[in-house]
Amino acid sequence: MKKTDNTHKINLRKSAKSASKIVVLVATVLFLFSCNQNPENTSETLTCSEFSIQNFSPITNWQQDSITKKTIFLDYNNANSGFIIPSVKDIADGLFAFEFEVKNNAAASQNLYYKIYYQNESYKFEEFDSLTKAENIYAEENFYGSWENTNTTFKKIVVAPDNNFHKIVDEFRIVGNPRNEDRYFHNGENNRWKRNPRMGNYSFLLVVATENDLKNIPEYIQNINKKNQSAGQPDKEHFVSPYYFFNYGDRNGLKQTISTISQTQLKIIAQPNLGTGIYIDDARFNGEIDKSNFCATCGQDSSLYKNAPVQQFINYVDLSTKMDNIPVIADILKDNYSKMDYNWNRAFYTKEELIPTILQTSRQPCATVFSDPKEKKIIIKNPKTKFGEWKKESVGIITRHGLTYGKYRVKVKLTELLNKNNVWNGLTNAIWLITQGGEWNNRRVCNKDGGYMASYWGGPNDKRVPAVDYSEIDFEILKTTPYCPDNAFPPVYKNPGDNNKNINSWNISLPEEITNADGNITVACTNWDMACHEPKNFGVGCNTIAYQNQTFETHRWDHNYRALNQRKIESDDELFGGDYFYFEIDWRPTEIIWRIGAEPSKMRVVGYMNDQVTSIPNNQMLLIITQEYHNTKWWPGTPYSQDNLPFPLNDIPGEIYDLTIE
Amino acid sequence: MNIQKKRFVVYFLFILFGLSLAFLFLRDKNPAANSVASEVIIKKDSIVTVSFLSEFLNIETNNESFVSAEKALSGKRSCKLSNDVEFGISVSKLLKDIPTFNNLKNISIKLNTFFGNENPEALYVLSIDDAKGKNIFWDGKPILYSNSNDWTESTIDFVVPAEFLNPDNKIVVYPWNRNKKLFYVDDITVDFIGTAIYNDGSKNQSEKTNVFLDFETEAGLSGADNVKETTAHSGKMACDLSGGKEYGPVLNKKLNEFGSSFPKIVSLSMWVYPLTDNPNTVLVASVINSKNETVYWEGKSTENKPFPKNTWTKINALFKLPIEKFNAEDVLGISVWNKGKTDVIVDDVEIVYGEGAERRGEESKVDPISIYEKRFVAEKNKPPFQTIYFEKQEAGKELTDFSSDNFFIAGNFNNDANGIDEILCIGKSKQAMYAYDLSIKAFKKIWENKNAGDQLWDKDNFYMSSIRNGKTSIIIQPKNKSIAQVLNFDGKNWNSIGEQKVIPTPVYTNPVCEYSGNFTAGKNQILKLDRSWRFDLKLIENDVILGSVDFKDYPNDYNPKYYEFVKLIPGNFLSSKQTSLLVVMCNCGDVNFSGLECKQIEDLPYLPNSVQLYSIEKEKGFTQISQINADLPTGRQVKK
Repeated sequence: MKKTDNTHKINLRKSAKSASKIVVLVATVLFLFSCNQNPENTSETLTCSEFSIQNFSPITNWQQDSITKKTIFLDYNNANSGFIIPSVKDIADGLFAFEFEVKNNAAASQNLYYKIYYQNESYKFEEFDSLTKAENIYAEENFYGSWENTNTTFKKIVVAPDNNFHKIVDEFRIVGNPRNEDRYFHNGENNRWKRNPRMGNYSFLLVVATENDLKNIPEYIQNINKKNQSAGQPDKEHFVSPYYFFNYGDRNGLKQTISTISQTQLKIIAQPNLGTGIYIDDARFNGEIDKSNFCATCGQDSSLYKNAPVQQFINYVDLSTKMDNIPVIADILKDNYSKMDYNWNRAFYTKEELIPTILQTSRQPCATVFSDPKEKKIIIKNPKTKFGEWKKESVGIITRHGLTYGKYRVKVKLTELLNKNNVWNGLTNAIWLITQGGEWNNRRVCNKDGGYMASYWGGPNDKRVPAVDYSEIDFEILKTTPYCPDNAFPPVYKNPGDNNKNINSWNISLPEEITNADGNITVACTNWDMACHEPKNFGVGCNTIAYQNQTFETHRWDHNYRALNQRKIESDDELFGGDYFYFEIDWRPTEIIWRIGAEPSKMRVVGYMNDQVTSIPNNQMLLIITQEYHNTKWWPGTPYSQDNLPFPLNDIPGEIYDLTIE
Repeated sequence: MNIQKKRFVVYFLFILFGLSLAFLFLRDKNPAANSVASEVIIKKDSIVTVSFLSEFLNIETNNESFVSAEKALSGKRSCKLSNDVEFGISVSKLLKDIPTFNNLKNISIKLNTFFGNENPEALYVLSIDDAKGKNIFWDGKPILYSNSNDWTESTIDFVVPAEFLNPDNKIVVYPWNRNKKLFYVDDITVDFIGTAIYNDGSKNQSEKTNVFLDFETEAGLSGADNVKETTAHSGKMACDLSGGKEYGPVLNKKLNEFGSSFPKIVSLSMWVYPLTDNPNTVLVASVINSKNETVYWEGKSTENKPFPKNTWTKINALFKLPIEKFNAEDVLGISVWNKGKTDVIVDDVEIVYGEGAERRGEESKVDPISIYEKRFVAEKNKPPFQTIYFEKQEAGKELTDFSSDNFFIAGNFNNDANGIDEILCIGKSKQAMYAYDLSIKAFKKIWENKNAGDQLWDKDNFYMSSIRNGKTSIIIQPKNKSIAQVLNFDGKNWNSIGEQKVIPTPVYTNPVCEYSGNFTAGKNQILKLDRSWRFDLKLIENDVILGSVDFKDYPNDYNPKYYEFVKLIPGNFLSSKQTSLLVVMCNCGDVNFSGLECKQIEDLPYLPNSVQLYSIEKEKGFTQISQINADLPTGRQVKK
């Protein structure tokens, strides 16, 4: 960026958190042009009759060589109280420096006022609703901020009429809960982690106004902590995006106000080092925990507490998972376990030989999850079992820092699900997002038909409530069948007999639609919308939705069913037979896109939903990667029944190489 | 009579009763004892002609006007037709009351008649009325006259046209004394005959709940008039509902056919081949009560679903049945309704009633909490049992000429220094003995009977062995002879060393066999095989079940326990100290195969007959067995 020689440099970095500090400039040249209110190109000089600005550079102390595209990776160290961008590891004082140049066009010295706003552009609602020709009612949900102290409204500068551009240098940083909303406070403390900065691209809006114009900028724009109360109805109070106000709002009375969005954007990417370790949260384990497997990279020491990006995940154990399992211990993947083995074991065990068991989770933290600092990966293992200690134990990890929206891409080698005989090992590989929980994390209010189903577990007769905190977006990959088209569901499975003198009695064949897809597994993509009826095309049964020349079939059991599901048949060998595979949940404000692929550049869409068919969650969620044992009653139509599959003879490992959220 | 004498009489009666049962049983086992006619072997799952329903009328309890006590073949009464009596005893049935009436083909009437001197030229009549009572079919066939002055048995067969197989139609058969002459009829048997997929009577309930209708045989169907040779999903036949035909085949089952508990669901599938766009063909389940009222109806249509023209597409459905509304006499019908009356062909209807039978036995007594808390302790001789694996050993291919219906004896016939057993195999066309050659890891033939006509080695002779001074001799008792030959093997040939009188053990009938040996070297153990239900093999030591035996390292699916007809021959084939298990495995094509004797050995491509050798791997065997908890107090689990 070209700088004028006669620019006076005024450094406000030290005064970033104080509005009282005023720098006086003397301007020597007066320009009489009217204001350019919304320029795209900030390299131009923007002028109104009272002043001009130019060379707005929102980040000058980071990646100086990159002008328009800057990238920064989230620093997970000490991030429990919320991500700060930049961190002190990124930039020494942990602040972005920004600058612009201002020239007084008036004949006399004047007070000017400026403010910088930032906004996440990747995951936002358009500020302007082209249908209503008004402010998008969801724009207030966008992640925008300014200086952390929201009481710091516009900063005052005094510019001399010297016909020179004077450089203004100031600082800011991107933090959670930038509006300092009460909702995210607890015991007087601002829990910025409850509304962490979103990933993706950020834009930067600079607004400079004269003293007179400043009076016409509403308080709720000057102080983004404030809500627009002009409607006089408390239930209609809402935050107003300054991006809407300055770009689309009523600018009467703002003729001497210049607002400009920099061409420079900052991309924030989360890519935690999975070798940093795994934290163990007491709350996830009942009672006193066994610390015998704790080590440097898994446990509860202060370093792990501060820096580990993930913790061990313990599935909720539902009593419905109680099963009477066949008393067989086998390695389905390695032991050449066949359909005939499955059929025999299903037919020829008596009830008293079965093992009553509940699908389990680890009771020994760190025994089944490992962080490898050298390879920067995480290994999870469904543990082997032995006679007398039969168990099917789910295993997994969960991130520790919640985010709203984002393109979550994982590079994993999870267990193969089918063996060479295409018999399922009973596991479900899952990559999923789950609510971070808490009333503070409630989803947007659902207004139609009483709202959301009140709870995740409440059944079809659950009451409905306007707001819930539960949200979940899933990849669940297992051996099951598609629900749609519904003419093919459910497959007809013959009843087995138990006449050992007639093979055909017990060794029954599977229906053609199952054997035709023998080596395939189902990628189930689900959004738990808690049965909010607001989406325009909320439907039950099978319905289609188009996206990028593909048609996807959605399925919901009934009007009270809490989840919308899509299923795609894929090759087990492709997804889990290679060295690694990528899975991506692209969670956007108005749509969710599920992609898979061998490389990030070769991702293909396997699931798509938008806000016309399902309520897209807008609360903060955590990412989970698991290898889970499910009760197959949850999956009608599944060709194998969990209780007729053996207990694992050997550990079943899965590896997580990379997690990127952008 | 004193107590001892009473006891003696009771014991004697018991023994006599037992012997009688054994005689009857063995007699029944021997087909030659019952019949000289060649036996028709019905293959499993073949299409057979069967009597759906048989009614026997002996008229003893009938009080109608035709009943007469003047003559009787059985009992005291018969049906008298005379100048006053034109119509004799009739059998009347609604079609839906005949099990699987949809595939009714014939009605066969076996009757006994006693005529006077004049041929009455009487007829036996089959008439079919529709639901409104209107006669829609009539056929009369002459009753064979005989002037033997005695009762004469004759049979009359009617063909039942398929188009009249509507469940509400009524079939009536009766003798018609159209000339009003005198004759008597008694002991009439009416058989309703049709084709069906053979259902082994020993099959359990769950197997009877799977029905597949491919229309090739019209098995189990009514509405079969639309079944014809046409574009078919499988085979040549399908149900053609073109030309505005609205109703397709129906399969009816009385709910009491399912036993005391009605199926809670019915799963259905059908292949549909629309000849026009937008078919509306409905797969229907319905239940009609005895008053002909529909108490349940549910259907799944092809309408608005992807059923492209000229393409076979499957429709699946699952209906939950409101069984609380049903009675045992109600009829569950599965039908095809071409609601849209568009041209459509349907084929390969699959019906599965219910969710399959419950497992046998009582609930597990294992406390899941004890497993969870890692304090589970197995109870002595109570499940669950640890699995002990016998691992497959190389056996070569020499023994593949033999099958499970052959006879095998293992023993140290050669009495060589290594103390290793040989195996003597007596087949129908081959008799030979083999020894295991450790150097080539295979059985090697050391003797074969070259004289094919030698009655001594006939497969049906009785063979047993005896051991003396470590050497095993063979005792052969030719069939129908009471003297047995005792033979020793000299390394090359068998030599008779004498004769002895033996009483052959009756044909083996017990499904439970015990085999003793040192299966884990140095231990005297018993392998107990119980095939009364499943292949249940347990390894027992000192009356303690060490575990359930399974096999490993076999190729493909060739696990011995999957075969229908298995013989185990334990022997010290590999080592004088450890007993191995030679397993001869076959499948059997007999319909009522009991596991003991097979008339028709069947070689299935996916489970070929074979002979395999297994033993517990020495080191693993010791380790594995030592882990098994054996002798703990019974009745409850013990906390460590």
